[in-house]
Amino acid sequence: MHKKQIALLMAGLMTVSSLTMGSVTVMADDDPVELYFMFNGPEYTDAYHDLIDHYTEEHPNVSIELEVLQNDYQTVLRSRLNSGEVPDLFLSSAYSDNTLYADYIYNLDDEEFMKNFSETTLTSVTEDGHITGMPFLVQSHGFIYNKALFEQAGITELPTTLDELRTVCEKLTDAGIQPFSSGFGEWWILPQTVYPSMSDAYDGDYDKLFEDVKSGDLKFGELPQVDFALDLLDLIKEYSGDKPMESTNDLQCSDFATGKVAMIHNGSWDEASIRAIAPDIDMGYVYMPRMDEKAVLAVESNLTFRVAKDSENLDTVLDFLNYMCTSDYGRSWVPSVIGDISPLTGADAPDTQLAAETAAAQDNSVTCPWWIFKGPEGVEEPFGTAFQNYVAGNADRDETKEVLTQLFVDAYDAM
Amino acid sequence: MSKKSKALHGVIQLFLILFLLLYLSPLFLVGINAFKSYQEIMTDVMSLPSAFTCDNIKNVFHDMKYPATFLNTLIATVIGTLGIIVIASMGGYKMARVKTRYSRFCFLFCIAPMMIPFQSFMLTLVNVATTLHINGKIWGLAIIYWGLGAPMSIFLYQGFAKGIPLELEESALIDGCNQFQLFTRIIFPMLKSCTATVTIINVMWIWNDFLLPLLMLGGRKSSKTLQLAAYSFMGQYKMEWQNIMSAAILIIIPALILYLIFQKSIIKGVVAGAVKG
Amino acid sequence: MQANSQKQKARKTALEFAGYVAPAVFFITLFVGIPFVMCIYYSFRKWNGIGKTSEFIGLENYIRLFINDPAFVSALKYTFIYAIGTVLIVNVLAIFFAALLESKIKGRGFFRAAFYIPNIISLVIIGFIWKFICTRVFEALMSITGWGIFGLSWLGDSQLAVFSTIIVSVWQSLGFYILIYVAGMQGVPTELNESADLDGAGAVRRFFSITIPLIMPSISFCMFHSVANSLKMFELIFSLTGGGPGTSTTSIALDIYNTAFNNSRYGYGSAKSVILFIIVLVISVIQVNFFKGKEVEA
Repeated sequence: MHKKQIALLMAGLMTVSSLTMGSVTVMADDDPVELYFMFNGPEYTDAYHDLIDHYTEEHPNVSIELEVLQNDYQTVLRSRLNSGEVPDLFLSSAYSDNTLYADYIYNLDDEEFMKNFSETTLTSVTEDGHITGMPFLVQSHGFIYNKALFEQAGITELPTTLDELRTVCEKLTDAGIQPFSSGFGEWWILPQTVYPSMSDAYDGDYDKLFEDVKSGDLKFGELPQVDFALDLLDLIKEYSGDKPMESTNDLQCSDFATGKVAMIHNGSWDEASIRAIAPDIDMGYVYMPRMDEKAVLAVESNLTFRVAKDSENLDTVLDFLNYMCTSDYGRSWVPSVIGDISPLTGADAPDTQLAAETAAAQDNSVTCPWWIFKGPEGVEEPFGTAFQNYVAGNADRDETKEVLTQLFVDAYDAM
Repeated sequence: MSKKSKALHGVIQLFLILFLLLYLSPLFLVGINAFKSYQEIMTDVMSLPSAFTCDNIKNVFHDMKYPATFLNTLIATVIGTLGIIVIASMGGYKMARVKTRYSRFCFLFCIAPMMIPFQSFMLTLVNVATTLHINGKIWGLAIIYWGLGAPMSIFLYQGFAKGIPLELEESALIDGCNQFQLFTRIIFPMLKSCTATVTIINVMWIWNDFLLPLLMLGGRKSSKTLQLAAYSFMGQYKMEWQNIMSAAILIIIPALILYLIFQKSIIKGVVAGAVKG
Repeated sequence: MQANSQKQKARKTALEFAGYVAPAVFFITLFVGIPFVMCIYYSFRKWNGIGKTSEFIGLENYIRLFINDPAFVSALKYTFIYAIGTVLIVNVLAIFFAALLESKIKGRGFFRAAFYIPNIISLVIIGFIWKFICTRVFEALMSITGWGIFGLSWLGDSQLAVFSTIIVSVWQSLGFYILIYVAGMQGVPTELNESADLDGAGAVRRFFSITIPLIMPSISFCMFHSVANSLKMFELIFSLTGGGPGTSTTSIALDIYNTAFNNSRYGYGSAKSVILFIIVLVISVIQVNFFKGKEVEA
């Protein structure tokens, strides 16, 4: 009896596995296909589901299991990769992650749908001439400011240098408005706050910069831009109220939305959270000041879709990406559902305020890439923590510079 | 009782009441804020909800897939705890009885893992689970708890079993009991109060555990535990406190109910474990 | 003949022993032993935790750990401060409340049960609850009462944040330790106290010279338990402060986690965990030996 059952079970299993095997070779038309995606960015959860629902409606044989994580994304993704439970499609950063996940990702060199991206858009995902992933969306970050409060404080011209920024802060304070909510409570906000202001390092030749860091010719902490960045952090801290180290992203959004502060350093992904509290708030970007007095906005398509090369349903996954690039809904998904700029050539412009400002900055070429990701992988967290230790008073300027130098040495060492 | 000591008791009583109110006030705040809208939490934390609404709870209940998630957590907890009880009671008892070098060595080997921080072997544990094809499955998670929970429980059982008289076993063996009968009929019942302790410690641990389910579950067939489901409300860019509070409530309440029902035996169990161990 | 049967008996005992102990040894080996040995293996290698290859580098990870890692040193420092703070505060408070609960007040059982409630909540949730209290609620209390204590940056100031993690963890575990101490005190024979009372010893003196020595077993258990737990502290900090501000509240376990997963240096993180294991082991052994000499039979 028992043996019979087991035999039946085995037979059943084999049929199932041969079916799924079959769907690799046969185009996935009718055979049921189950995909597993793993994304970060929980603020887009609803949008992800919307996209998946639209796709599976047109392809009823496909069902997609989606896992959305944030704080532990790295850890869990690692455990999935190690366990062989590789998501068919997952998200990562661009640049250094191109090589980090190299053992697992399918290159999109020959895919027709990748022609929907311009060559410049693809630079962040190109490694040794291979296209290692598909750009997700163009995000931007800088100082988001409240236009009404600026007006109220009598500020007519936006600051472009550190001194002007200081003057603006003074004016705001005089008008009884707290200038900043710092965001220093979360380590990932600090790299974002400082690297745009350091983007004039090596005149923007970041490849050379990291080459020199790698060879030891440049001690990262000795870049003059580091001093400038620390000055900027000092300024933000000075004007961020009593508890600058407790300001987290959610607090930034609510402080900003309720009109308690005039500026936050954060990105286009915050617009929805802010509007959830204050639907009609009038906001824009103040560009990040630099030593060379050319203020910039950090703009990049950094989040990248990665296809698992060992996926049993590779064709279906590629079809899904194709759907995102070519179907009407897929092309409008980023601009109209997420509300940010799509990296697809010729896609609609979103009607969100920050995205419009981003487009304007792009047109005027006052942007910088998310260049810190061009460095070795694994530096973002220690980089953020080093600056966080500085603003928290745990380390002074010299110590911070030393730590910055060392963390790049360590990171290259670990590769 | 003298007047002076009566007054003293009055003061102590009052102090304890006030202190307890303060002590539990954070939980009270969680309770009231679970019923407020996001805007109201942002503007008015301390007051009672202006319009009492269960919408948050309902949404979170739905998003967490509460019934299924609850069941998963229950399965992991029950299978995990039962397995731990079986292997730890057997092992702990025997290691207390046999006083050889090997036994001592076995005991040290079994309890040493109490010193190992989980973070240090969690990724390699995932590899082991993968090799065994038990990752992503609730019962697989439960079985892993057998290995992780056994050390502490063996420690407790061994300490407890040291105090049980030998005569009963000997007379049972003379009466012709085999080892299985001996253990299930004679020894295990004698370990009862230690079993209570072990049950409580492991149920609370597995019910509340977070990192292991995070690594082991999810994936293709995403089955979550309550802790994982609640944690998904605690994202990076968004702190939706009303949902976080509701999720917290939905997790605390079953535990609280369980605690209130079994309060007496729980307290007894915890104490027994500590005193004997 | 005699020797033979003895041998047989010995074999039988050994078999029995194996039968009882094997399941436990098997599962512990499988799910702790093997992973931990693999962790030791990786501690001698360079591996990012993702790639399919790793490289043998000998003792390099360990050497770096001791000569060139301020993050680990600061984690070590924090962990010790946290452990000492938590262990002292929670044990002193628990003994204090246990003593109060042992006096003849009403509703003793109720108080014991109520103090235990935070213990049934997971540390991750506790962390979020207190994050909410320290940010949102304190802000509201500040504007209502104007008391400076609520205006302090409990999670944002480096020193205060360390203190906050200690307090929250005391809050969570206090009830557990009260239970243990109450039980310990119930074991103290009342005659001892009464005769001391007749001899004219005051309540405080009685407490220190009679109760404390007699509850040494409880104290030793609680110390052992709280020390081991604080040295491995992870989840509460993970959700309460995230290790911040900066690295002010980054415990060793959290530093290991960051090294292995956020900085992609799994091999190095493994070396750190081996060291943490050794630290916990050494401290526990010292503790067990210390208290062994102190316990008094009641």
